[in-house]
Amino acid sequence: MADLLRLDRDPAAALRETAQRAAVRDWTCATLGLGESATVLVTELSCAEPGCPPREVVIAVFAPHAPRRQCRIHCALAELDESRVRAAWLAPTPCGGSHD
Amino acid sequence: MTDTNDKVPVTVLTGFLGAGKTTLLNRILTENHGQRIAVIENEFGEIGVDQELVINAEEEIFEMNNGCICCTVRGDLIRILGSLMKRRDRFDRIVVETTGMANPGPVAQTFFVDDDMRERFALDGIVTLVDARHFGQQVDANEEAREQVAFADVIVLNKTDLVTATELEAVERRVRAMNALARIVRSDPAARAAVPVDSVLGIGGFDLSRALEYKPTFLEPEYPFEWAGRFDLAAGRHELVLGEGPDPDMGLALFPAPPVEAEDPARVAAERAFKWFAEDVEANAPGTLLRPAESLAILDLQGTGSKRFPVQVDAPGRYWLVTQHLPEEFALALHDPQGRPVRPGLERAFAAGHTHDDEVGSISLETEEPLDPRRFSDWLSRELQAQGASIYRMKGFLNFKGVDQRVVIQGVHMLTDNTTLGPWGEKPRRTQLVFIGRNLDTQALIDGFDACLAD
Repeated sequence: MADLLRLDRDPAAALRETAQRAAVRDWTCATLGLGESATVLVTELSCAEPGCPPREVVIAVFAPHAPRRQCRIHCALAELDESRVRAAWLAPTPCGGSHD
Repeated sequence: MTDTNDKVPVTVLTGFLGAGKTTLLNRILTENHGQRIAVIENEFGEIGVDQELVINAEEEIFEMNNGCICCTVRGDLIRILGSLMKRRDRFDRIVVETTGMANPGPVAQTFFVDDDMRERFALDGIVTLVDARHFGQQVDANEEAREQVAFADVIVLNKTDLVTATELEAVERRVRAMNALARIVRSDPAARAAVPVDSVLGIGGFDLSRALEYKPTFLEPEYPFEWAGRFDLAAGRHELVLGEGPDPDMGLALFPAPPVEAEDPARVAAERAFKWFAEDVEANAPGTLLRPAESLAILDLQGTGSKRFPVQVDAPGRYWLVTQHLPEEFALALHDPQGRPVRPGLERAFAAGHTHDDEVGSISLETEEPLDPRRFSDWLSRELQAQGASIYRMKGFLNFKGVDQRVVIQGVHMLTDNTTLGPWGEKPRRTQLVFIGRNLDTQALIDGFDACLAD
């Protein structure tokens, strides 16, 4: 029932999502060698571009006195693992999508 | 769903160039309210008080999804908020002062877009200052000025000393037409940006129950008139005097008040007068004798100078005078048989069912029938996909079939958050949902909402 409202959302699923988001932050910090002063934003968005998967994850890094860095991975948040996050950040164009 | 306990409250201060944001900020910082405030400002060097935590920011717009306004946040705020939290013991709340040309959408979305941000900060409210003198020009010419009004939880009408009472009423009506939910506060004409601090801080603007508390006319029906006043009239020949106004004529009804006092007499009078204002009647030229009657009278006000209409009252008593426009707009006055002005003992302004030329407006949807949660969720998802860029704010209480809790929902563009406010208990179960946006497809919203009713 009711995805947008999440009225009957399974508490365990909510905890898993929070943990997954934290893990993506940790993997990003480890890959980029970020300290505590950086803020990492992890957002799952719907992607309406033709030919793209319906979900994508945008990871953005905001560190003091440094340009913003961002990375886009075309899959759902739940499907991410450390190797995928690491590979996305270390790719020559970490934006990760032709339509970025 | 989020819990507001232990979060840092954040107030966003917006307003067009010259509206008085910095003056208000300085007032907030100098008042003795006992709270330590960290200030994030996008305009430099204007704070006139010693302030330990003032951080200058340079607007950094971050589009997470190419060009989509709904997925656009403020990178500079994310950076600063992150670093401020390392000094959490040094402040109690945060005030963000934006530039005059700032679009409040990305600022508000910054606090919704990421779970981590939502867990650490609570957007207490968006406070928009309006320069009462230049408001009309500014909203006509600038998208940003319209958006700042539309996004606001509190609108401070400032520089009220520079306009007449009638002009101020007109500004307030236009503001209200653009944003039906915001609390409107007038600054003291004697001192710029002088408003009680508790009207702009700790307002719980994103807490709908408090928004309703502050806005008792929320979802009030629109009437074909703007004002009703109750007068105690003696028998004899009175006189109605009207000056020049914005229209060549005006409709009114003067009729006896019911002998038994109702709980809300102005509302009862308005309901009685409603149907008369649909009557097609001839205009009365100045000098025409008027009598109390349960019908509409149109007064012809063409030409320059005051217009006078004698009014014959045969039976002394209480009478309601309901007028199409506010009395101030025509300098309306009622004189008794001795020529003395008679003032109403009770009066009420009403939301008029005007068509407004502003592209920014509010739509209220309401039903006492329970909604089907699946249908509602699917409909709202589709609607936000279709109209999300045009929907600035959304707030509402939801009454779902099979759900005993009051659900409150709010949103900024496509981002929404909902939580429960406890059981309905003795409160009447009713859904109230308000959209504020630009060129909203009203009929689509009404039709879609109606289709969400439970079987």
